[in-house]
Amino acid sequence: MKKLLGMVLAGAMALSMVACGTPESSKSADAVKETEVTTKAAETTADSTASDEKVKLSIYHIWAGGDSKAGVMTEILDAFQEKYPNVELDIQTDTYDAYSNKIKTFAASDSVPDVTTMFGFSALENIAKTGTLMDITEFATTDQEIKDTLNDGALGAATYDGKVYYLPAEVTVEGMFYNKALFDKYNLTIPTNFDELKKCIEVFKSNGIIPISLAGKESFPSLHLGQYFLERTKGSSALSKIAAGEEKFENPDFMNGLTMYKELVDMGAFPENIGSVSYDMSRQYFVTGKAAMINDGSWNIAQYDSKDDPEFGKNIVFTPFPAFTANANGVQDSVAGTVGAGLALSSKLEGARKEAALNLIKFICVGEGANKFLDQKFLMPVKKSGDPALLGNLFPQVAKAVSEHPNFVQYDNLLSGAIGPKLNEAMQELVVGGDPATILKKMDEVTAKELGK
Amino acid sequence: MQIGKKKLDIFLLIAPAVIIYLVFCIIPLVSSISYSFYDWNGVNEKIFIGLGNYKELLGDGEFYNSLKNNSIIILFAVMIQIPLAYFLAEMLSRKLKGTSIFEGIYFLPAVISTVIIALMWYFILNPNEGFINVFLTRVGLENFKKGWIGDNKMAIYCVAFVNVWQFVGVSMVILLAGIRAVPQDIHDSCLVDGVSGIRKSLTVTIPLIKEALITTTVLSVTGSLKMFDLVFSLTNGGPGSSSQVLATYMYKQAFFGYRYGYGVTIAVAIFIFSAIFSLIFMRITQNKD
Repeated sequence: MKKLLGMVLAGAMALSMVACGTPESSKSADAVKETEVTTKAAETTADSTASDEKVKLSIYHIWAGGDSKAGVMTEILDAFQEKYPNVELDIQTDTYDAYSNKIKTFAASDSVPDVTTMFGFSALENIAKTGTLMDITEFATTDQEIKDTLNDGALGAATYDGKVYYLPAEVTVEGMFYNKALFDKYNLTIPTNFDELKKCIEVFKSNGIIPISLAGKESFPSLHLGQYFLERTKGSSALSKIAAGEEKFENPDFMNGLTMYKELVDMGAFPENIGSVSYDMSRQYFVTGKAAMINDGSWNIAQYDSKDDPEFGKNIVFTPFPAFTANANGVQDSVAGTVGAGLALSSKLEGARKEAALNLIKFICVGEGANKFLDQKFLMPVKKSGDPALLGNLFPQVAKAVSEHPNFVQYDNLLSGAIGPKLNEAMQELVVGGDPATILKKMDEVTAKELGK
Repeated sequence: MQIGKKKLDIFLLIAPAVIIYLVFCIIPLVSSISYSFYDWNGVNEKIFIGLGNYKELLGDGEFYNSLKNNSIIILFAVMIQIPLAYFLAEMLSRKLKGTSIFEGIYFLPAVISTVIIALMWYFILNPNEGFINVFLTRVGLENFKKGWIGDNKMAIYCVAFVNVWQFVGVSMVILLAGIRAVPQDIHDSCLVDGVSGIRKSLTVTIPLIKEALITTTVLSVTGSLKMFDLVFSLTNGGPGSSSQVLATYMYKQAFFGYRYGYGVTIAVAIFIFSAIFSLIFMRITQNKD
């Protein structure tokens, strides 16, 4: 027993050490911070032009490692340091998963890095409540360059309780990617409504091609597709009513939506044994021509476009999910477009370091950084466009879809606390064979618990 | 006076160890348990709800489902892994050529990272592109194709099987050490008395290596109870939640569902099960001594 207890305790110790491990570099940054604050306290009103004063800033972001933005983000930070040699950046990076755990620890222990990645909605809500993020409303709404460049309404996602907390640096769009070559082969046209989609599914199915590639091992892909069924049958306005306790998930429209989703599951529209199909594998089905369609996000444009086969990217068509003809009580032509991650500041910054940090996020999110992102086919919430020669076939289609269609925010992002993650799970449950009524009932149970707090 | 000084010396000498033990072991453990009495998302204010999380846990269907899946893994470990390990150990204990090579081969899975093992078996057991089903199709045995990790009912058995495959070598090495410690004169008397084969195993070898058997059973049961990495990488608890185990369910609640307090409650449950099991097991073995 003692041995076992010892083992358990050792495990707990290892865990606690991992959780408490603050990066060495941020500690040294803290030390520099102290001296900077004292020397610069007198000149807090200095304007934003680069000064010769040496300033050290820590930046914590997730566009690194295996992320598709890793290369361009490194370039942007290099360009910044070249332009502002007085600012020394201490760069720390993480994967998204590690980030989402660590940022909570940073906030709870009041050690948020000077500049940090931040996401909208529930993530922002949780962190902003702790008071560790700087309110940048004044800067974001009065700075001329930001006002001229940022899309209208882009700051909405970065706002909590009436205050702006970060500058957004990405827009994520989810919709249908079609392999036009396969559609031509079987004399099919790109479906514009649900009935046409079902016909296409039947044809592909009978020819041994996976109609729509989808992953069931992870939960988010089934939500990215499933949200369209709720959007077409009722619309996202219902979610704010649900959050206010005025509406329930178990309503006739949502029921219809999920029943139609289930209809596709039963038709065999998705890969067999979907529960074991990973997100990577589902994309593999699409790029190798084993599947004719995939509902995916704009973050994969570069992958689809620059596939080894140059012809492949030319044949991809992007549209929002087809409109409904029956049960069409929602919005029919909308596309899922969400203002995503951006960069926020620690509330501890003052004086020259605050100026430098504001300058840095402006540089990345609306200045030269934005140009570089656009050139690499990443959607940005800005009124700029990248070099047309570099954009390829797919990027302009996605950009056009977002600007020409009404946008709705990814459904789980509109739900607070445990409800959002639960909606992901619910959709996953549906595609592996769950029953719509039970799933909606479960959603209402979780919602009631969350609202009852 | 002398005794008092001696006591002080003793205290000073053990103080560093005790302090490290307290700071890194006892305090985190106790504070972790205390989180289970709160409704907490890991960031914001903790709300004290007493035994609320425990009440919810007792009525949580997915918790029982995870517990059932853990039990399947434990059953596989005890009923298949240990007998198999004993069989292999018995074979390798004979003085034949090449036994050390096989010893190495059987032990190999234990030194490979679990994530790599999970990935490898994912490519074998995947129903669509996996080696087994592709092989069956190629040789014309399509009727024998199964859903493996893509099948609601089979996924957990696949996990349990891979777990056996991974750890049978470890159990084998422990048992082999036990068998080799059996004195040569016992083998000689068996030979003289004409005891061999299964009878020798049951009446001579197994009673003599009881300690090793107990050790490996405790290790495999507690290992199966807290299993996380294999399930997380092989099936991610799926399809749906058909292969969810306690540790992955805890992770899902704490880090994915923003429910830290409830996650800790599940962790406490794992701790309690492990403790109960080891207490029962120790009581049984003590009685026999």
